[in-house]
Formats: sequence, structure tokens, C-alpha cells
Amino acid sequence: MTDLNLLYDAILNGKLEQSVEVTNQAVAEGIEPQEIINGYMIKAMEEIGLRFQNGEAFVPNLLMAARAMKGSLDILRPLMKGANSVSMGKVVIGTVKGDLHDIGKNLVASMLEGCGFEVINLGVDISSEKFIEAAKEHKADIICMSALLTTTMNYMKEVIDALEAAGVRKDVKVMIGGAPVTDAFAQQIGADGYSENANGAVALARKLVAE
Amino acid sequence: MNSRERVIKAINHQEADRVPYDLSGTTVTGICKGAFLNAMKERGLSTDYEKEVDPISQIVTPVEETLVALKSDTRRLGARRVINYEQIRTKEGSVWSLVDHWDCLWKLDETKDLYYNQFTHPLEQYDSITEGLKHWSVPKWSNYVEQMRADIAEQAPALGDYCGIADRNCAGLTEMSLRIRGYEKWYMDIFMDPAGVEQLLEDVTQHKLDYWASLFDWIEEQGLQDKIQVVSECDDLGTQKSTLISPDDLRKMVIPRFKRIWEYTKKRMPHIKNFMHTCGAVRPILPDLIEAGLDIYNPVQFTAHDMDLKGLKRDFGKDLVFWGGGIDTQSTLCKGTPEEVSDEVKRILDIMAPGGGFVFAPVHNVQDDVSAANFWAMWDTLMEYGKY
Ligand code: B12
Repeated sequence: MTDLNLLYDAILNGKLEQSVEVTNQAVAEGIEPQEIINGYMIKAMEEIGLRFQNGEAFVPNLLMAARAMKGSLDILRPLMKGANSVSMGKVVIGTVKGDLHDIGKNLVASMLEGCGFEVINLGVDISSEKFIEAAKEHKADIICMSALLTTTMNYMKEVIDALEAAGVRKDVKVMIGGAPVTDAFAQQIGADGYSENANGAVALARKLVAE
Repeated sequence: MNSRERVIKAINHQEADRVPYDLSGTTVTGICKGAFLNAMKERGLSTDYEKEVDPISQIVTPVEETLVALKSDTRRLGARRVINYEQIRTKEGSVWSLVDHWDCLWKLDETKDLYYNQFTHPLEQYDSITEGLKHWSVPKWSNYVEQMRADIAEQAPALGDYCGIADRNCAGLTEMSLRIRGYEKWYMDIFMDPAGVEQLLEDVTQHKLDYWASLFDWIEEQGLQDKIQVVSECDDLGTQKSTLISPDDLRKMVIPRFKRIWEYTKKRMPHIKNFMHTCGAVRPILPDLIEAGLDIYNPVQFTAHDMDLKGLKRDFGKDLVFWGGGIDTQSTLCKGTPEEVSDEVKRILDIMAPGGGFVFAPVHNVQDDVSAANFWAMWDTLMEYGKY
């Protein structure tokens, strides 16, 4: 029997080869993808997120963990085709127009992905049209916006207004984040939630899809 | 007391007649074009500015008469960050673009961008840095010395009785590495190609040492040593919460290289103080930077984790001069009312001014979202309340 704790270790320590190897063995032994994801992958991502939050892990550690996680997920995903229930929900994520900071946004995207969400990462410098188009096309449950600049964070309000104008605001939840963003700002612009870190983003997303 | 004497007092941990003020003495204590134009118009000051030193962040250096009126105590001397900017940029529709001498492509769309943004990284296409460095190398500074000499000859007359800052020619060691390799790839290379990471850091260090050598040569030739008080380096190592890469990796790969740079600057110009800009939550490495020869720390981003000003002044005030941290630029200066701006400047002066060791500048460049009213609230309060 494969020791799936090795998958947990592989992701936590950012070891892609080990992660792929253990996942392949587990699949060959007939272990359900869902069990692998819920029992080990999500736990490992939560742990690395926690270490990051506590200043015990750093950007490189998170990127390596995400890479190892994706290696495993690439094997598992095709096996879960059709079984819609496996996805926690669909998230469209991007950094807003005029802003190129994406390190934090990508970490949030990876954490969400590693914790069972389907993530459509639009990239940086994303206009309200692009957010709306993607939300419609993918029937997203949540739109996540990131901004690291005081000069670009106000654009989040424009996106929310545009969602309203396009008549899709009621269909999606809106989460925002990035260094200058605060809870008060989120409330002020009519977003559904804010989190100051990637782990909190996952908790919030879970809460919002459950609502 | 002239500006140079004022700053010399402050950087030697003594109180002068007032807290010195730095505007445009470096590329991290400047003002963006839009904010500058608004603020100057409001008080009828000249809105003219010099050739752009750092067009990437769209900051401008006001002309001398404006700097005098603004009582800035500093003047910058150093290469332009984008060499021959006016000649190498092109425009298509609303989009300006340029390829700098590091082979990075930058674009600015006038309809939406406040800054130039980077589009390509010369080593991005390779499997590793080690592989990439077989095909591409860090530009030789010697190719640009002549242009630098022409540029600094234009800047030098402004040094006058001001604190002269010899400013860097390029971004920091990790920043340049990130620009060259691409952000996420470089972070992962720390694990996957540590030798390549070290090699690239080393090549950038050499580039910087060559730059400093050429700048000091010129300063000596002109007999201007006494006009220079500060040598300014940078590397953004922190985020809002922690350092970007681990303190241990910084101690191993990055700080020793700054130490070499700072030893060199002190060897060539023993009277200068070493200044470094590093954003964010960097408290854990401040002792290491001091050990490595750092004298002056900027931007003092006190809104970041564990960077409270009282604690910093208490724990590092003997060893470090704080240059910056005069007002928060992530909320108060851009979103507060003029009263809030004024109150914060007063509060911070009360903490930082006693005993000297403080030069006033906001946390980072004044961005375009800062109103004229807030700029002047900051400035008036400093000039009034910053007196000793
Ligand atoms: C790295 C960096 C850059 C890199 C970005 C590279 C990249 N590919 O992302 C480069 C060099 C390109 C850059 C450029 C600029 N930068 Co910059 N940059 C930073 C720096 C040092 C770190 C940001 C970072 O990556 N943090 C690490 C990540 C992990 O943290 P994070 O992004 O905050 O994300 C976490 C949370 O916020 C949250 N989160 C993030 N997004 C989301 C989204 C959702 C939905 C949720 C729920 C949560 C969430 O979770 C993440 C993980 O925990 C900060 C300093 C700082 N204090 O933040 C300055 C900083 C953001 N930059 C700043 C500035 C001014 C600039 C420039 C204008 C250039 C300049 N220096 O003049 C340009 C602008 C370019 C542009 N158009 O965007 C200023 C902004 C000031 C202000 N008034 O807003 C800062 C604060 C520096 C400072 N001290 O002033 N920058």
C-alpha cells in the first residue's frame, strides 16, 4: 500500500517528482481521487499556507508546494471528469487593471486550487469587461480581485458596478485582497468578503459558496 | 545652517535646526508626475522638471528653483535608470514602449497606466538560469560610462550646499535577478538552480561595483568628494507581512554581497554613509544589514508587520538613521484628509525627531493619487513642526 503521507510531505516540501510518483501509485492501487485530495492534498496546502501566514515559510516555499500540488492534480483531474460534485466551486481570479502585482494573487489561486476549487486565473491588468466575460463564460461562483496599489484598488469598485450594470452581480460572490485592501474598504465598495492572506481566502471562499 | 550641514548632523545622530527633508534625492524618495503637477500648480510654483531619471516609475525631478522653494535638503547624483530614454522609446497609438539595456521590454499605455510595466525577461525562456547564462549575460557597465559622465555632469552643479546623494544605476540584487529571470521562476530557482541564482546575483553585484567605481572616479576627478554625503542602494526584500525569501537565504546569498558593495563604497569614500531602501516587513534582517555596513535605512514602512516606529527607534536608533517613514503612503497620504495627514506627521516627528537620526520622507515615492491639499498638509506640518 502506498503511504499517502508521502504525498502530504511531497507537497509541503515542494517535491514535484515525489508528489507525482506517490499519486500515480495511489491511483494504480485504486484509491479514490477525492480521498487523495481531501485527505492529503488539501491538508498539505493548508499547512503550507499556515506556515506562510506565521512567517515560517516564504514565497519560494509556497510556489514550490503549489507546483508539487499541481503535478498531482494533473493526474487526478482527468479521473474526476463528469463528477461535478468534486469541485468546491468555480473561481475567476485576476489582478485589476493597471496593476501588475501577481505574486500574492497567484498564491491565492494555487491555494484555492489545492483546496478543491476550480480556478480560472485571468492574469494581471484585468478590465471589468474581462472579469464579466469570464464569469459568464465559466458560470463562476466567485470573482476574486487582487490589487497591491492604492492607485488601482479603486478599480475594484468599478468592476462591482459593472457587474451590477451587466445584471450578473447577483449570480457571483466577489472577494477582494492585496496589501492596501481592508475589510472596511471591502464593505464600502460592496464586495462580499476580504481576506489578508491565502489561507483566509480559502476559508472565505468556502463560506461564500455555502451561503 | 545650510542643507548639507543639516543633513550631516542628522546622519550623525544629532539634532540640527530642523528635521531635514528629502525630495528627489533618490529614486525612492521622489514624486510622480501627476501629483507633482497638481501640487505645484496649487501654490504657483514652476511645474518644470529635469530629464526623467526613472521613467519606469514615472517620477520626476523638479527643476532647481522648485527644489529650493520646497526646501529639499538633498540633490541626487547618478546615472539615469533608463539610459538614453528619449532616444530609445517609441510610440504606437497610446502605447509607449522601450527595451532597456538589460533587454527587458517595458510598455506604458497612456490611456490606463500610471507606470511602465515589464513585458519580457531575458532569461525567462530557458530551463534554468545556469542554462540561460550560457546564452545571455549581464550588460557590461563599461559600455555606459561615457553616457553616465555626460548625465552627471549636468546634475553636479545642483549639489551646491546640499547633501549630495550618489544614487544607484539599477534596481537591487534580487530585484534585477527577478526582472531578468521572471518573478516566479526566480523564486523557484532558489530551490531548483541555487548555483544559477548565486551566479546571477554575483554578475549583478559586479555590475554594481563597476558602476560605483566609475561614479567615484568621476567624483574624484572633479574634486567633488566633499559634496557627497550618502551612497544609496536598494533591494525590495519585504512584503507587508514578512520577507519575500527567507531571512536565512538573504543572509546566505544577498546580504554578504551588499556587504562587499558597502565595504567598497567606504574604501573609496570613507566619509560617506551607506543608505539602503528595502520595502516591507524586514525587521528580522536589520541586525544583519547593520553588521554588513548599513548606516541609513529607508523607507521604514511602518504599516508592515512588526515595523512599529517606536520599537525601531528604540532597538535600532543607535545604529541606524531612519530616512523615510515620515508618513504612510498606503492610506493616510493618499486617502486621508489634510488634518489626518498633518496629525500623522506630528505624531511621527514626536517619535523620530528626538536625538536626530531622522530624515523626513514619506514611505516611498508620492504616487499620483496624492492630492495637492495632502501634499501641502504634509509639507507645511514638517516645516512648522519639524523645528528643533
Ligand atoms: C514585489 C513587488 C513588486 C514587483 C511585483 C512583481 C509581481 N510579479 O508581482 C514589481 C517590482 C514589478 C513591483 C512594481 C511596482 N510596485 Co510594487 N511591490 C512589491 C512588494 C515589494 C511585494 C508585493 C508582494 O509580492 N508581496 C507578497 C505577496 C505574497 O503578498 P500580497 O501580494 O499582499 O498577497 C497576499 C495577501 O494580500 C492576500 N491577497 C492578495 N491578493 C488577494 C486577492 C484576494 C481575492 C484575497 C482574498 C486575498 C489576496 O493573499 C496573499 C498571500 O497571503 C510590495 C511591498 C508591500 N509592502 O507589499 C511593493 C508595493 C506594493 N509596490 C509599490 C509600488 C509603488 C510599485 C510601483 C509603482 C513601482 C515603484 N516602486 O515605484 C510598480 C507598479 C507596477 C504595476 N503597474 O503594478 C508600493 C505601493 C504603494 C502604494 N501607494 O500603493 C508597495 C507597497 C511598496 C511600498 N513600500 O510602497 N512591485
